[in-house]
Amino acid sequence: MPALPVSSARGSQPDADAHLEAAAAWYVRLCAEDAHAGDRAEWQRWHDSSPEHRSAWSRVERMQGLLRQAPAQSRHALGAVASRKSRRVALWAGLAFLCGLSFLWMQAATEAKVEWLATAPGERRELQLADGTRLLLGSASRVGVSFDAAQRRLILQTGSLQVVSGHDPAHAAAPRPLQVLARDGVVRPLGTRFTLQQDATGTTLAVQEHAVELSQPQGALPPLRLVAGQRVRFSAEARGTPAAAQAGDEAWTRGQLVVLDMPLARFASELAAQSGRPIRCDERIASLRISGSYLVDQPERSLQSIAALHGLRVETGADQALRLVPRRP
Amino acid sequence: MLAQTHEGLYREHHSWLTGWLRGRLGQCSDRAADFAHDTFLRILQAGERPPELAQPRHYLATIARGLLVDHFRRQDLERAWLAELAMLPEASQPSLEERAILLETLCEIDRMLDGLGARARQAFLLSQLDGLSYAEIALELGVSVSSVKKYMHKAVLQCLRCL
Repeated sequence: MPALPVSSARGSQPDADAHLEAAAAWYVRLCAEDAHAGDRAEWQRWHDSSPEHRSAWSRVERMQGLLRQAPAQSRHALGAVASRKSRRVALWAGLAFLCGLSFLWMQAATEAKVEWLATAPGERRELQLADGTRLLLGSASRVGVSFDAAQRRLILQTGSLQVVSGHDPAHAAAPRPLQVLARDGVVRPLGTRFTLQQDATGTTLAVQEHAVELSQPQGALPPLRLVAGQRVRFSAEARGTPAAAQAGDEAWTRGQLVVLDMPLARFASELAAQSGRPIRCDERIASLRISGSYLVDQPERSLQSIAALHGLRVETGADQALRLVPRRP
Repeated sequence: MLAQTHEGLYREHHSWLTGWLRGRLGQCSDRAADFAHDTFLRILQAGERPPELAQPRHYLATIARGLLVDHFRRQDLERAWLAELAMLPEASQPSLEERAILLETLCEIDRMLDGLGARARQAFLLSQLDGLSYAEIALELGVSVSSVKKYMHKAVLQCLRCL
């Protein structure tokens, strides 16, 4: 029994608690699907036979009153937040789920054959799969394709991926579900176009057409439906609030880097990651804020336009590395 | 030891308590000050004189820790609930004002169920909020109907004891 203090205001404790026990037993019996009129009559006799019984039952009524006020969706919210005592259990359940997910990965990776696709730094590759699904892989990305008779699975191991889901014409009678297993969650496209970008701290999911469903079993988070024009940032255990998609979410698919008020040092590392060209910036100008749309395939030209705007200079090192420095040292 | 007054307790330990809270909340000093304030408020409400304290700081920290736990618990619950609400169509979203009231109800139900095992909690919620039959709950939880009844009894009894 939980070690809760029994309210001391009412009656002598052992008796009062025995009445509460009885009231609870009655309530559980009356809530059963096979409760019948006889039970109800018997309860009525118990209820009416003493003021202590009525007082105990009044707490049942108070409980019912509170539950009636419970808002929609509260069962899921209350279910998602474990009791303090059972947090540890929830953690283990989460781990088990995590193992489940990696099992899913391993299964996808070992049982059905997986065809791995990869791009080099600076490379973008577009391809069409047998089911009509079109993939676009960003720079330095690795994606597994695992299709069998029952399902279609894509595994995003690293990098960025855009998916335009196909209709699976060969299985028109019983279309195979399509799933993208990403590091931080599972995305189920609902006839759609969307982008996933995985980086060191999390994943950005943005939807360009129709809708997707994101599930994150590890975080015990409920599935989230995201529609065209929305984006969400998430990690394995947590999820931000869905917000309006940003120009930058999809820009990489067109070979552009679209940034707003981004520190130059971060811009340099993003451009380096997407172009595959080493790019550095002098630390004196590292926190300069950059905005605009830049071509990933022409990093030198992109840096020249930034240099012209901010009074900087572009140097090319012996190793082909580009370096932004102040014009006057 | 001299009998402590509230004022003395506040004067001697307020800045220590704020520092202690700041250590737990990160650098957010505004919130540390709020929690320190709430802690003293709690003691003030408890009686005319604070209890005789051999270790006043230990006592203050115990109360402050309880307030922090409640606060973060509430935050967890709110986050989980808002994530659920986000899936409802816009028309059926409660207003901000309604939300505050509903969240209060949610916290009250949560407090009532606090400390229950995960299965008893789930059984109770599935029965009382989703209206599932005991047989359906048994299927959902992968246990027997008689276990569901035991879970229900445990959960209901705890609720009655809290109310």
